[in-house]
Amino acid sequence: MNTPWSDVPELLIPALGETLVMVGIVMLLIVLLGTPLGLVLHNTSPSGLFPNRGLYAAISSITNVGRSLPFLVLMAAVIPFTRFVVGTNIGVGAAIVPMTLAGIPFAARLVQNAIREVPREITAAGIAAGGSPVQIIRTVQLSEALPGLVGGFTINLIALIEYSAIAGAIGAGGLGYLAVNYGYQRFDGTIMLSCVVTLILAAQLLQFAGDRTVARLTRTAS
Amino acid sequence: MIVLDRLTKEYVVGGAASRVLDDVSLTVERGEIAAVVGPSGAGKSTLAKCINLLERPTSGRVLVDGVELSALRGRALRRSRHSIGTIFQGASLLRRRTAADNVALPLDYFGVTPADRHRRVAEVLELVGLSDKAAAYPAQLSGGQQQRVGIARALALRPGILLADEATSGLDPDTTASILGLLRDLRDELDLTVILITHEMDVVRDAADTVWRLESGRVAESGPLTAILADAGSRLRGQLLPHRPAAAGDEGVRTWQLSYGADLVPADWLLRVADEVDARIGLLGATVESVHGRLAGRVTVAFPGDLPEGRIHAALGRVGLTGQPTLVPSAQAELPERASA
Repeated sequence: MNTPWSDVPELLIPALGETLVMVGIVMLLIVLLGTPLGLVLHNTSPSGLFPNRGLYAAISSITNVGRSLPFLVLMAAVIPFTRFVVGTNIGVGAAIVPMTLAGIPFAARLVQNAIREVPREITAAGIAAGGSPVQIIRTVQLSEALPGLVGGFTINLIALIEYSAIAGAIGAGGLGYLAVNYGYQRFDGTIMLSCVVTLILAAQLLQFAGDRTVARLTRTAS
Repeated sequence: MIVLDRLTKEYVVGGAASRVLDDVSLTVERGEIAAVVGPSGAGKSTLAKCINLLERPTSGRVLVDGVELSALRGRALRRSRHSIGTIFQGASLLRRRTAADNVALPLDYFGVTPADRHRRVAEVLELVGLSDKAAAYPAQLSGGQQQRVGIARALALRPGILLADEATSGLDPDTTASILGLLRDLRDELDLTVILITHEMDVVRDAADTVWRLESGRVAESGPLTAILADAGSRLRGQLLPHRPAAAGDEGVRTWQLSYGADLVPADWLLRVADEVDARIGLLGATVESVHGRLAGRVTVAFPGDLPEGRIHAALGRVGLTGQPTLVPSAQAELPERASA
């Protein structure tokens, strides 16, 4: 049964709103928690400020566990934890927990990667200039890696839209829920098409905005 | 004055310790430009990192004006770093900060007032001749200009010692010369002690007062540049004054290798020696450089084959040269066809 086109916005707009709220909250949590984790990963690695083989191996393997599970499996596996944190395992609130858990290790690796790209000589210059570890992290690592960090977080953000759609399948709401419940289970072609187009547009728009921001943050010769 | 006292640095790689610096002692007096040279792998860059304590020596001490930097840690070490300004090999500027903000980095870390920061940044940019580029980002500057910003940054906290770690590698010869000129001027103006870590012999010839040659982590040779250039047995001298190919002498001549000695060699020595031995001298090849206003060089000449060696030695000695006849004239040995033709 196809929903008439005139009724699509009524369903689509609230769903898009839910998706944006879910993705927005999770992204905020991920940036706040994934950045420190990425900094710890980089700075305990052999090229960091406090190389510590054992600690790095431990944090690195925990991060890998978080990244090795497909999101659907992770989401199902952490249901007891989700219920403990938000008191329920359905709805937007419940989706935020697995999305954050999946996003943090991903973000941490992206942060680690971006900071690793900062030339060693720049870090050495900072240390030789008398910078404390906190000053080096702030003025050299985070500041120099900023374009890379924004680029990484853009990838992260788009991945979150995908997570939110999967979470939608277990009743989290948003575009994923709409697509599965109307588009898939009720063979509703107009809703399916609307969801697909909206998701594609969202991803394109975010990537475009991310690329523009990276370009603006990069100080090139022009 | 900076003193390195028996520095040793070992790295443990796969359970085995490899000694990169082996008992390196070195003293550079105030106002002196010292060059540390050696092939790659000799330990130069490790030495540089040990001097500014980016790496901690396994044993030995780094003393700056009597303060043992190598004994300090954490905050005390950071506070003492301002006594050594380090210039790196390119690409060490923060890419998202303007030239002025790069220069201000040590001031920001040190915590000076905004007014002092502003004044000092203007001062050091003026010193390196880049006042007009204060607002430029590194990517908008040439390699030489970037290196000048690096020098200004190294000078921001008024260090007594400037450590340049391959600071001119990757720059073209003209830019290298201008950077070295700047370093010499700064030394004169600010009474700086300068340590140049380099593999470029031009840098040594143009700027150094003293030279330290590292080989496999040890000091293989050291001394004032002028003394090394006058020492015919020095390996470093061979690298500083490379042997250029000399022409073969005519039939019946004997080729000699001459060296400028430590005493002043008159510019017209060739005529003087010719007069003295009453013979014609053929000039076959030469490397002659002016170093600190004095001539240093190696020359290949041809004397008549029947001239007694004793007379040649005596004549050379009078103009401050030393020399040896070449046993087998090298050009003939290398080009037998031409010799027989």
